[in-house]
Amino acid sequence: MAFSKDDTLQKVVNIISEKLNMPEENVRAEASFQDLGADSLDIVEMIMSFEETFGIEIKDEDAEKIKTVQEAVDHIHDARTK
Amino acid sequence: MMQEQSNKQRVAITGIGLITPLGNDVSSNWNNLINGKSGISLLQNPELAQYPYNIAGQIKDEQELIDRIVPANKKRKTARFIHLALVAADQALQDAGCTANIPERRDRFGTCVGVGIGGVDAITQASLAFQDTGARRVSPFLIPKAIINQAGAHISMMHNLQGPMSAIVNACSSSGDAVGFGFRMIRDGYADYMVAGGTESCIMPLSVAAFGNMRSLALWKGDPQ
Repeated sequence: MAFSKDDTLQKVVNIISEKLNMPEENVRAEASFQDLGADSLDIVEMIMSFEETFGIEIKDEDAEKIKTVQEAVDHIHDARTK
Repeated sequence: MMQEQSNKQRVAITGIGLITPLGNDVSSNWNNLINGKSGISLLQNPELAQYPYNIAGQIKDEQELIDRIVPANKKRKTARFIHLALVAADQALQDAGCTANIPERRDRFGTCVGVGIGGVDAITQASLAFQDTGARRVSPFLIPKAIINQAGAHISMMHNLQGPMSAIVNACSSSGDAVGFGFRMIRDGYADYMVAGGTESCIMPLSVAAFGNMRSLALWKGDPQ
C-alpha cells in the first residue's frame, strides 16, 4: 500500500504540535526538535508516538540520528513504504 | 551557648498559599475555618461509586486555577499533586511580594515540599498501560511526573529559585516537617528564603482501597455538610 509523503508530514506535524503544545504552522519541516523547544524526553516520547501512529519500529540507533522534522518524515516514509 | 544562639537567623513567614478541601485561597480557607465549615464532602469520583466510603476531603473547582498557573505542556508531564503545589506556591510567593520584587540572590532562595505518596495516579495508569502494551510504550515522563521531589523541583523551576531544593516524605506529617525543614534552613544559614509546605492528590481507586483496607477511612454515611 502506498502512502504519500505529504500524509506522513501532516501526521508528524500534528503529533509534534500536540506534544510540544504549539500551533501546527510553527512546526516547519526544516526545524530541529531542539529549535522547537523539545528536551530529550520530549523527543523520546515523540518517537514512541510515531511508532504507534505509523505502526513501525524505530531502532534506538536510528532515533538518535533523527534531529529535524524532515528527517523524521523521511525515516517514517521509508519505513512505511518498505 | 549564647554565642551559638546569636549565630542563628530569625525566621518569619511572609506569605501563605492554600488550595485545600476548605477553599482555594487563603481567605476562603480562613473564613470557612472560623465559621466552623467542614472541608469534607460527598465522594465525587464515579470510579469510587462501588466503594463503601461516602466522604472525602476533596479540592473543588480547582481546574481553572491550575490552567491559569500551569502551562499546558508542563501540565501533561506532571501529576496533579504537582499542579496543586504550583498553585499554592504561586499564591504564597505573590502574598510575600516575591513575584513583583524578586530577591537578587536566587541561589539563596530554596524549596522544600512534603508529600506522602506522590503520583500514585500516574504510576497506576502507567502500569495498566504497561500490561497492555509492554515496556516500549512506557512514557519517558512517568518518573519525573510521579516522584515526590518534583513538586518542589517544579516550583523552583517555574520561579527560577536556585537555592537548596529538598523533599520530605513522612506520611501525614510530611507538610509540617517540610515547613520545619524550611525554618531550619534559614535559621542555620543555608538559605535566606524558602518556599515550604506540602501537597497530595491520592483520592483514586487503588489508594482508597489500600487506605480502606488499613481501616483508616470513615464509613460514615450521609451528607457531611
